[in-house]
Amino acid sequence: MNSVFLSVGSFILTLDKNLLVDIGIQLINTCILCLVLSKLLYKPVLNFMKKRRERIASEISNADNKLKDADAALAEYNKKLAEIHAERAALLDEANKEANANKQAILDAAKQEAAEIKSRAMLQIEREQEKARDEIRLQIIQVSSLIAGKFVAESLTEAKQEQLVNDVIKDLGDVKWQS
Amino acid sequence: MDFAQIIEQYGISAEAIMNARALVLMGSAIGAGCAMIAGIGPGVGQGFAAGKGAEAVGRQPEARGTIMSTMLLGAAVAETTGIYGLVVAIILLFANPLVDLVVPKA
Amino acid sequence: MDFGSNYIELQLGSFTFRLSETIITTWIIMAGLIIFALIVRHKLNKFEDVPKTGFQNFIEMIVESMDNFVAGNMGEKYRYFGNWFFGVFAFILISNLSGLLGFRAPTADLGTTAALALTTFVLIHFMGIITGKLGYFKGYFEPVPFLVPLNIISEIATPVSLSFRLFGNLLGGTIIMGLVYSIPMVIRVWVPAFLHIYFDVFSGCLQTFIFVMLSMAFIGDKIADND
Repeated sequence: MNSVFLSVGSFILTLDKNLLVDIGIQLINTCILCLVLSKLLYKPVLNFMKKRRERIASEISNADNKLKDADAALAEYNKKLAEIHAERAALLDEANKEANANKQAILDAAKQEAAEIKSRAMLQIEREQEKARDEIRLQIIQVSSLIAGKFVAESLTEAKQEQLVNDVIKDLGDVKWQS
Repeated sequence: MDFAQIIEQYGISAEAIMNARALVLMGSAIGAGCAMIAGIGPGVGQGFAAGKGAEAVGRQPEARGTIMSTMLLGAAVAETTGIYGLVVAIILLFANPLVDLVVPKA
Repeated sequence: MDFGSNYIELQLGSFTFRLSETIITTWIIMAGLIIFALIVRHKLNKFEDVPKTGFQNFIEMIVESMDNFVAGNMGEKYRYFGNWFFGVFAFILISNLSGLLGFRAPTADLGTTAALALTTFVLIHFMGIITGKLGYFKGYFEPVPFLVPLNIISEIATPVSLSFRLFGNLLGGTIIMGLVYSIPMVIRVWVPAFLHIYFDVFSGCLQTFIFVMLSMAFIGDKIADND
């Protein structure tokens, strides 16, 4: 096709065949431009943003799920901790009770023992008192018999002596021991 | 345009043709000026719309975006008559179809 | 006054073709946007979950706001329209802002805006037919059958007003700036800066937004009518 240059000029508005040709050209231009911009710019960017939005939404829901799981785990742990606390308190209580019981038993035993020891000691003391009293009585008897013997050796009869001794003993028996 | 041809065909002088064209162009220029009177309507209308829009924004500042776009849409539609006037003026000035009626194309 | 679109007329066989500045600028903008898209596609593999670079933040912001924009205007079900409107939005926005770089905005040419409005027109009626089936055609006979011509005219008025709105706004800005630039005075040094801010940046962004939003509203309206 040979193109021949015809003329130059300028126009503002013509209502003729040239306008229709211009409209046709601009229609094609606009369609091409819109197609290219849509294919290269608008759709890919929109897709990119959509994908990102979906990914973030899924991540948020994931995080929510995880948070829920963590909350559940926390609640469980708290429950367990409470249980452990209760158990510990029960154990402590029991141990306390046991210890108290033990203490009471030991104390009772100790008291009993002490009482036994005391009573034994009292018994011994009594026995010793008795013994001492007997001894003293014996000694007094000896002493008095010695004195009496010496005193009556010359004059007194056997019957008289015996009567005397018995009197003395009787008197002695009435005397209260000061221990 | 070949004046000699026209003169021969219609038997009128070149001066008469020029006068006739001048007359048509004068009328066209006056007509274009008159056509632009159409600008009064849209001016008043759009001013009214803008005033009401400002009023609406003042009453409901949170609906600013909606009011703005609605107002612009209304103003654009109201502007149509003014644009028609402008187009008539432009056609009369730059794409005058009347001049060619006076002197037929050769 | 050089606010028209320059053109070269070419003879291709038996067909005369007007290669205008509009088409050349459109191709430049297309090339820029496609290169940008390729860069994004290439860098997408390096994108991270948490954006570290401003580039990724920017890309995510524009794509996400477009997605929300479509979902807010047309409903969750029709989010896929974002694929179309993203391209349209980017093209119109860059076209409107190209005036800042010294180009003549392609959207200040009826050819471009009519093509864009035509796509919206096609989408409106395509969506109307595939979602409404017979109800779509019944819509023309309401409220009374003899209003059919009026209904058809109002349907045709939609793309016409869409295209002429964008075209008129951009051309108005271009003409006013062309007039200011043609004043042979010192005013040319600093006044155009403010005009560029108003006509290219403010008006350009606003008209882009309005075009896309109106397209969505019209298509969504047709769909919602039949739901």
